[in-house]
Amino acid sequence: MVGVLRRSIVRAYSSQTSPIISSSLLLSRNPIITADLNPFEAQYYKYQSELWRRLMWTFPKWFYFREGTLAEQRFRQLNKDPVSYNPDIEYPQGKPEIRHRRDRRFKQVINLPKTYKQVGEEGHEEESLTKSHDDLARQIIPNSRVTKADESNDLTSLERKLSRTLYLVINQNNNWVLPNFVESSTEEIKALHTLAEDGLYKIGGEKINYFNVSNTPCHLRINEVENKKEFIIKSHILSGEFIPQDESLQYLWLTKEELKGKLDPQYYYEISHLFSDV
Amino acid sequence: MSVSRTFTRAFSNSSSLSRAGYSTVKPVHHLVKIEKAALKPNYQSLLVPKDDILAVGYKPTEIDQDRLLDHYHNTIQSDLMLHFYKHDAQKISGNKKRSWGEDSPYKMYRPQKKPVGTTRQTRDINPINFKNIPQLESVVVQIFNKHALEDSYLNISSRLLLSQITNVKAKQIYAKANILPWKMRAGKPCGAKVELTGVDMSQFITTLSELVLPRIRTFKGIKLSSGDRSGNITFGLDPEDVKNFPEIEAFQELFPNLTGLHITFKTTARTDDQARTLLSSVGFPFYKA
Amino acid sequence: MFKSMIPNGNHSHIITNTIFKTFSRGKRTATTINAATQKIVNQLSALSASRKQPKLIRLCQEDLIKHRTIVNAWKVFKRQREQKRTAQLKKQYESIVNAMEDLKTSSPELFELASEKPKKAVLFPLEMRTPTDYPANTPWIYNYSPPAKFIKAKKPTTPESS
Repeated sequence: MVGVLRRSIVRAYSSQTSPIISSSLLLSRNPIITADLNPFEAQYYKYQSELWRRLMWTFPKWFYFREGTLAEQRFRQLNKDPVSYNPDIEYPQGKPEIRHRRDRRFKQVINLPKTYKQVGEEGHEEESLTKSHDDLARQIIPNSRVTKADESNDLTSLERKLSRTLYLVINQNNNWVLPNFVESSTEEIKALHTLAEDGLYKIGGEKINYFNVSNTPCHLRINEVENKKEFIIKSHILSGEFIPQDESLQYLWLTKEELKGKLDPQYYYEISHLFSDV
Repeated sequence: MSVSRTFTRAFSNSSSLSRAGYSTVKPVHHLVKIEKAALKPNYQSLLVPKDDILAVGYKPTEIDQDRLLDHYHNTIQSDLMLHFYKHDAQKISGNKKRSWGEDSPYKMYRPQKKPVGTTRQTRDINPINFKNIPQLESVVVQIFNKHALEDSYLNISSRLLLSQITNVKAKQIYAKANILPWKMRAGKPCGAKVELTGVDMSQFITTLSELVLPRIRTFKGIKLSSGDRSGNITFGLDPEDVKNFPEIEAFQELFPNLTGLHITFKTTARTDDQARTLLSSVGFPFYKA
Repeated sequence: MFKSMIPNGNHSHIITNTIFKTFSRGKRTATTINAATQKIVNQLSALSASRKQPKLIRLCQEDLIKHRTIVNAWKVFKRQREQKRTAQLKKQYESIVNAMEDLKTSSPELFELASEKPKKAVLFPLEMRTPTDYPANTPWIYNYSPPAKFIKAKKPTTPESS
């Protein structure tokens, strides 16, 4: 009975035109800087690190600064000894407990001599002019986490939203979708990831350094409108640039939340679990 | 009457086996040794778990964002799952101890036969799914200091060196065997080791892969042949290379007799190949020797 | 060098002290040890906890409750994050299984190619770097040109096998 049923299903299936197998490319740019912390995380880390500093052992000054050296003298100038305990005085806030020139009750704050002049200090202007970019003694000012592309809201730039994973989407028939490729010649069998790669080079140029995570597709989306089976191949862009070979091709690099706004809701819902939250 | 159990005369060994662990008749005398000193009320504070702020040894562990762990969770973990996916994969059983057979009652309680060809059992290799994606468990850093065999005070500097570069107080290790040509005597301190987990591990790995290794001119990578066949990879650094650690670099005169390091990455991967892929994803190059 | 210096140095010092000891009440004689010994003493003291430990934190009842509330909130936050992560991974895993199961029936040849695994370890590229707190001077490298042989042969298997 079962055998008969199955055969009938197979026959019904083969009478239709079987769906075309195609491969889609989930090309992502990984985060370049650490994720932004939410306020709770930031506060918790601050609280914990303050506790950690409070419970730290005393800095072994005698190990790093030999007595009588110039460096030790400068260190002593910067770090004044805490108020020592005098039995004749009453301390309403608690008696100081000094060990190795540190009050055990509190965290130890250590100032190290700076090799540069700070803003507002005398000689800062001249120094910033004279000191070269490779000078190890210069003041290190970290680059901004917000880039020019963020300020101009350039959605096609790879330098936007450095703390997030960006995904490549292209515009097809006024719909934003992941780039999808179909094998043109029917004789030759091409692996799904090869098909995706060749397709990417065709639409985006060959100046893309990318890493294909696996030959295995990470998702199957059945496109009933075009009678297609879209196997999604996952890969990362490492350097280079996506330069559309066709002038009319529109493309965007978007985060997960932005994809939600751009993609068709049904389409987004089907593939949303593939996108990273960060 | 208190007679020590070891000195009571017994004609058979089975009598002590059949006896219960303690007598139920009061006053209860425990046959299992209990360290009663540990029950002193003064020591109660030592029983508080260490992650509680009331504990004497409390130390906050999550003091900052762990960028390596975040990177693993955000990017690598999902990639590794796809990368190691094998359709219809089956469990590969390890080399286990063997039964002697069940045809005789004497074989029932006999200790099992050793695994084929070896003395140790090996683990099963399960196909990778979303629950068992390879992950770094810990990093063990170890120093062997042969000069300390003669003068044990020379071991202090290797312990200090290790503590400085890892932020964890190093344990002393002792020689286990008497080997005359190496002047080794059992019980002599001859090095130091630390096992790093959590933030300290991440910090050490990033320092190593971003600051130390790129500055070693002769460094080609970790040997592809390295590994213990169950997913743990080891490599070594020369005394010259150790100087590249930022904690050592500026204070080289404080560490006069530098020694090399052995660094072992313990992973939850069950094969070396998986462990290599995992390590390459956190920034370690490999090369074919 | 160390070995020869330390015991001798210490010894001679003690001897001289005992010979020329003059008692003076309340006055302390300065003990000087030689430089090499001092270095080792410094190393030991840098390593040991003695006199370097801070006072224990003694929280009042109110602060203790505050602390416990914060820690509990953090645990809840972490658990929820972990559950979300696991759920997403599970979904991803199921969709891989589903895709491969379908490919197996719809195109066995493509299935073979998709489940082909290299025999040796495949290494992830070093360019996939751990994110840093602040971006580099050039956050993204644009001028990438593929190696010449790559363009000619156009070898498709990107996972660099080692």
